[in-house]
Amino acid sequence: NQPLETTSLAKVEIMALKSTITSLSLQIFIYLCIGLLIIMTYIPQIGTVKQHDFKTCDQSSFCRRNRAYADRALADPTFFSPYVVKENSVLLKDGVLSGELINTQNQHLFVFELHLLEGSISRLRINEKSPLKPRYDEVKNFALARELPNTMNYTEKPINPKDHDSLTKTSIYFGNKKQTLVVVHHSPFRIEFLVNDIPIVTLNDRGFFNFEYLRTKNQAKVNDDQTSDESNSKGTADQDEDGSWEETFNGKTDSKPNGPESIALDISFPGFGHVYGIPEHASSLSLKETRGAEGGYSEPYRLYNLDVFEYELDNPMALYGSIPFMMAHRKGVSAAVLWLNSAETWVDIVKIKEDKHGLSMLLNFGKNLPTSTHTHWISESGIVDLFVFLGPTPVDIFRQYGSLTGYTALPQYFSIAYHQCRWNYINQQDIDEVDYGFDTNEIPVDVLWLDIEHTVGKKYFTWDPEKFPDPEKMQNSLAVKGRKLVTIIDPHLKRDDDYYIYKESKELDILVKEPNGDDFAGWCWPGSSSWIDYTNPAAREWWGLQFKLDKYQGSTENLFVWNDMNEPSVFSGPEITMPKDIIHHNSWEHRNVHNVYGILLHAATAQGLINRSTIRKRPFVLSRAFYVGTQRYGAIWTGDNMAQWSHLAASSPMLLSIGISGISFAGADVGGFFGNPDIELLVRWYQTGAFQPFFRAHAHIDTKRREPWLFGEPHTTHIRNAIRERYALLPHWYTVFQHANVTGMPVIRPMFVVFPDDEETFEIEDQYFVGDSLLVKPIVTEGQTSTDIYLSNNEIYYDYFTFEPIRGSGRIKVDAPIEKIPVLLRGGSIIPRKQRIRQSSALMRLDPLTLLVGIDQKGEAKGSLYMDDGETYNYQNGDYIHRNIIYSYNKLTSTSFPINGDNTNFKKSIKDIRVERVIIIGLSRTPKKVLAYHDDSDEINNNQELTFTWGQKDVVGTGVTFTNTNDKVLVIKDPKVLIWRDWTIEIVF
Amino acid sequence: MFENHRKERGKLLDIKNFLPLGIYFLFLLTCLLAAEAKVSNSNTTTNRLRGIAKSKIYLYEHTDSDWVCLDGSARIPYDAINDDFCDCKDGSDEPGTSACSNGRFYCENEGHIPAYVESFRVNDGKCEPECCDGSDEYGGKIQCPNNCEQVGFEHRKHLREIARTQAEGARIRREYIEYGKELRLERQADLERLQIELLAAKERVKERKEVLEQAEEEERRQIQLTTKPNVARKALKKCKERVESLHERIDKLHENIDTLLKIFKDLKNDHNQNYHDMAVKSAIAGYDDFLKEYENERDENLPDELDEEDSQDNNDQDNEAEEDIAPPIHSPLEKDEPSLLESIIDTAKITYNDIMESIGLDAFTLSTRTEQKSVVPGTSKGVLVARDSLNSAENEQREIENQINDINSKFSKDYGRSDEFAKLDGECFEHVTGEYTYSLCLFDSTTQKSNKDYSSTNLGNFERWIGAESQDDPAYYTKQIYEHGIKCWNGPERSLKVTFECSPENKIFAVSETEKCEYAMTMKTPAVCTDGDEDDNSQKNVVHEEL
Repeated sequence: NQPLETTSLAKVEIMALKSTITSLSLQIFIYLCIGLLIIMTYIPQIGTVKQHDFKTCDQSSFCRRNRAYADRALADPTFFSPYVVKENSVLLKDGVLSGELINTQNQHLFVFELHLLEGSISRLRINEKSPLKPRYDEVKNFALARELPNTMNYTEKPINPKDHDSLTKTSIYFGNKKQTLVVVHHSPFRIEFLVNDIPIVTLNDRGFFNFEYLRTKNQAKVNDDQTSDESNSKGTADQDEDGSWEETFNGKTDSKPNGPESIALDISFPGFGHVYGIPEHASSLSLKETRGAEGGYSEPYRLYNLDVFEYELDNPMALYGSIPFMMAHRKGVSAAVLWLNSAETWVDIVKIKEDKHGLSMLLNFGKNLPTSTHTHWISESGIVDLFVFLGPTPVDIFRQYGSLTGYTALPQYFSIAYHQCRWNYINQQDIDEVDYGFDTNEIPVDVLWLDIEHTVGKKYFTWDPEKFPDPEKMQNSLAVKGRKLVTIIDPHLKRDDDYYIYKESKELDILVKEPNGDDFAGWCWPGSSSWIDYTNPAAREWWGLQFKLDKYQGSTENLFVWNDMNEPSVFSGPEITMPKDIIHHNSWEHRNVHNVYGILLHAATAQGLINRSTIRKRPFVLSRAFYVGTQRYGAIWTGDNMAQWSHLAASSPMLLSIGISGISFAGADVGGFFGNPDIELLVRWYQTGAFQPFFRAHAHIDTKRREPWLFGEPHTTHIRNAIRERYALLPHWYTVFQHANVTGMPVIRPMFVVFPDDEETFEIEDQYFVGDSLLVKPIVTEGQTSTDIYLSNNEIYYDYFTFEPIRGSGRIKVDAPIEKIPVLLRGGSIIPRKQRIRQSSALMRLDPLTLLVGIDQKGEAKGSLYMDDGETYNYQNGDYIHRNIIYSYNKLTSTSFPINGDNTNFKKSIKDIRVERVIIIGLSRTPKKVLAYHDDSDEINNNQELTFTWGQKDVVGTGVTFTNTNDKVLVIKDPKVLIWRDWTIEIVF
Repeated sequence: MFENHRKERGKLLDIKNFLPLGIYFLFLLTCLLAAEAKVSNSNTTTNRLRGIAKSKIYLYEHTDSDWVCLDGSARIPYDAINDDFCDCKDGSDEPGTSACSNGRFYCENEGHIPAYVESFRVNDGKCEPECCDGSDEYGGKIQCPNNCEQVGFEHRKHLREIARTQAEGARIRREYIEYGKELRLERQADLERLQIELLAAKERVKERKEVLEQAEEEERRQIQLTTKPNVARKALKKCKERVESLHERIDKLHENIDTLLKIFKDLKNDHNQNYHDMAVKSAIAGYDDFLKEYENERDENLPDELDEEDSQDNNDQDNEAEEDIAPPIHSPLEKDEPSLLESIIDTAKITYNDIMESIGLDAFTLSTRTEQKSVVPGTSKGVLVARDSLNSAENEQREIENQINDINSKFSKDYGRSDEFAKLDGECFEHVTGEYTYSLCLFDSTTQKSNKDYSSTNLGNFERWIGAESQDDPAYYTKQIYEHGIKCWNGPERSLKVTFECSPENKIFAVSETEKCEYAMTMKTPAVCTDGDEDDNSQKNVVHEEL
């Protein structure tokens, strides 16, 4: 491997230098030259991802074995899966079909359970019947929000004596209308899920199911020798090949005391041409093939949380987070699976045009062969615990997946506003100046961030007293403007007995351990470090207590937290992470819990913030690593991206993939972390970031300063407008987040989610919806001033900035001068805005609203507005308002959604918030007069004629820098209707 | 097609210069709030005229017809002024509310000085320090006290203090200017004197050169009479050349080692510790190891070698001294000659002497280690005396020239409009921050010293004044740049900009690294203090008129 070579060469040169220096021979010069050359050629390498630092499938023995198993199975036409259901072992009881499986090649026994769950979800669990020692099965306790109840709503299909086939399979109808059928084929073991008699998901269809049973090193040889004698060895994974009991990568050896223990299963989506999800990868939204097909990859998608320095785009390499959730979609039907496993996992994908199981006929393809997607899931350890979500619509999938893994936590209002970060704001004065820079430049900001340099020697929970002598005062002066501070708190602890966090955790014995029982030590920012074992509940509880205001010196309620490096990143470890044979709580090896480590830190921190004050407030914690269920705890970002156009472009598909996999609250570093963006890139990035859920600018310590006002005009104005537009739209964003909180719908949605029947949208990843009303197309190419945007269904849209109507179907050309990116208001939508942009979102809380109404072809529009206090959990007791706003029959009405809520106390706190302006776009006639009244009011006299303008070119005071070019815009002046009351605004023609 | 909503800022209050005082005022406000909250006696004016400066009220006078926005963009009913809805493109209809994003709100601040704040600060639930009368918050979200009396008092006190220090500073500055003038005159006088001396020295050199030439000519004639060029001399010359080139080689190699050591040292000092790059880390570790041994070796070995050479040298000299004959012109190179070479030369000399003797020219034999008798060119007494005398004359001339250059270079330095910075030339100041001590030697260089390991990094050398583009701009002499400091690892050469602010005392006020390896320093000095009755009252505004 190269870096080591270079290192050792450099060392050799120094040795050479040493040996010759005294003799002063000419050789020195030559050696020095060579040495220098090596150093010089080495330095530029610092700027590129080191692919060789990370494993390929072939370098990961369990992946290699299972891929080989699959290859052998495919190469042999007579192959069949050796796993069969043991005769008479099957039992259907209380919504669970259970039974035993036998591997006919070695007679090893397994048990399986097929759970039929509420809401068209099914779960398959497979484990060894009597493993040598327990296999890891705790990830469900961390990842799932709740255990879903089994449904009692099912019927077993009676055996049809005429159908020979029915003797060797078990068929059960379940689900609400019993429209879902699951068929378990006994020999070989295969499971099919059908919706309306059409297969949706099949398991072990290609026979790649492989369960490496636990064995001792010596036993194993004998056993397998015997079994391979008596059975054909076709398709058998050679469990004891090289790498099974020890493997070395880049000079670092994994001792693998448990030997081979991988599990693998093939999951097919018959008739589905597109699959999505399994983040995090810098790849396309619609996932690519991975077995060398043209346009695809030759490596599987890898799920293994890793700190990848300057990651490459269009690559299936693993990144910081892992969500083994995959969604398949075809016209009219969606399905999804969750492979609940926290060990290193690889996923192969191939797409084949084929007519298996009579699919062409079922799907009315006629003679055209439908494309089916076949996937192969390979995990290093654990058990099979697979959830199948049967949709059938994307909305159903998100609800089903969310009901299991949790919905996006309702964020604090400030946290969806703008964040200003840099590695590093160097001291208190720096923070003051940046804070002040926003004010003088009239750019709002809600959060300033402090990276690792704010600490004493990277000891988290400490403040460098020279740089930050009075952190509380600093937070308080931010708080006057409604602003917050975020500090970084990482999981690695400097091994320094004078450091209280380390000392306490050492004494409490909650650190990750070496196999010999010592505390594990590795290298990270502070130098030699140890890591808290968050898989230990005692550790999580203790960790949470560290955030108590009296414990975390210098913290106030205005301080929030950033958990970085929680993959975990270990500079000295294999693949820059923790060795797999390191030991966690209950003696589990790190290999079992790797992908869940980061989320456990995230969860513990979030809980700590909730508990730190007497009035429970919602936490805000940003994490880099993530896993299934992260949406319950906070936000994530796409890690250390680069200041390049390609990385700006990649942010859309990455965030969409992460979003449909459950985590809506996600963003990418605005401007790009590494390198210096030119001003055009920076402007475009702000314009894009303003329409992504988590909106934070961040920069590496070696980059030039890039606060929004440092580039002069007109650039500052462009950036200012992008950020201000975000603030204007915060009521909409918050409403969409609340929707995600109760429905599981992603905050930003891919086109195929909004138009599931339009096949043209299935691969679109460069435009997306915020909620269901704003269509955004980021500009990600230098010098570009117009672009195509794809419109479905011949609907009407309006340019969000100019109100210009845009009609059509297919690719429509739209303008994108440097002042804006294309944002379209979907006809039929109503969006709440706040147009008095102040210094922070908190200062805008009680400001009046503007409603932007875009009328559709039927002359109608609808929207909603959710409001609560934005910081506590009082909304759970009904302290919120949720308005249903509808334009229909020339009337704009606001009524309360018929759900609990609307507590009087909360209403009192917002009693003065009114609608100050209504902008209606798309009316065809000139209004004669406009009336407004509160519905429940007997003040008839408030039914008054309102002032309005019609077709005025400038919509004054909109806070937007664009003026409308549409002459059919009605602007109603100050209807004075209060937002918490029911009201009607009537337009008379 | 796009509106640009940027607004003219209040001239009464330039917020950009407000930061330090702003913080001071926040503090003040907190104190005052704690003391006695005096509820604002806000609305003596009607709502309609809220937020309008007295001088502008005539623009909002009630007439029977509609009111026209101040930019003429629209005609609105008079009642629409300050009705909390933005009607005018320029925001002029809402001076007293937050409805227009581009409006300005006027605080009367009776007892203090009036101020404008942006509309978005009106009724935002936060008391603006600029509106000490609390008039910006009338919406009921918060009660803002009227502190103007106290704030005004403090402000006036502050202004007096500023005026005092400014006057004191200006007095010192006048001394500096006086000093500068005197210095200039002194230097002028020195220069004139030196120039006369230089002429004399040049004349002397010329004369002595002639004397030397004559002496040499005489000597040459002598030698030509008695000797002929011989083989040994040539060999000797060749040997010398060879030795010389080997020495150069060695020096070159030493230089190369030093260069590499410097590269490694920089790599060690400047590498980004936050790149977890094991290769760099191990290279540094290797360098440390090497350095330790290298230095040990140097400590152990080099002195021995030197001793050896020294003793050899001493021997030579002893021998030569014994012979009581002036040694050959002693080039520093020869000092290091290995003994082998010496013996070759000796052999050559002996051969030559043998030949000389054999033909009866004993007088022309060369001195060897044991025997030196002959005259070597350039060693005759007359020549030596003449050369010495020329050398000393030349030295004198050089000395004078150096002094002249020195004065000229100081003359060419720009000490400010009235030479007010001349006093500070070469003066050094230090500033201790947590990790580093910064030092600035004016018109010379600036360094950063680590308080941990006392390593020192040059941040740059004086380059020029950069306070403004044009020298005529009063701000020109308020800012200097020091450039071409030590290059950063993975970054530019370090540089530092120093901004001068008025104070009776010279001291560095603050230093920060504004960009990677670009430093900004604020230095207090009387050199920029003016009190208005200067001949150049240009720098009046160096101390900002805060509030």
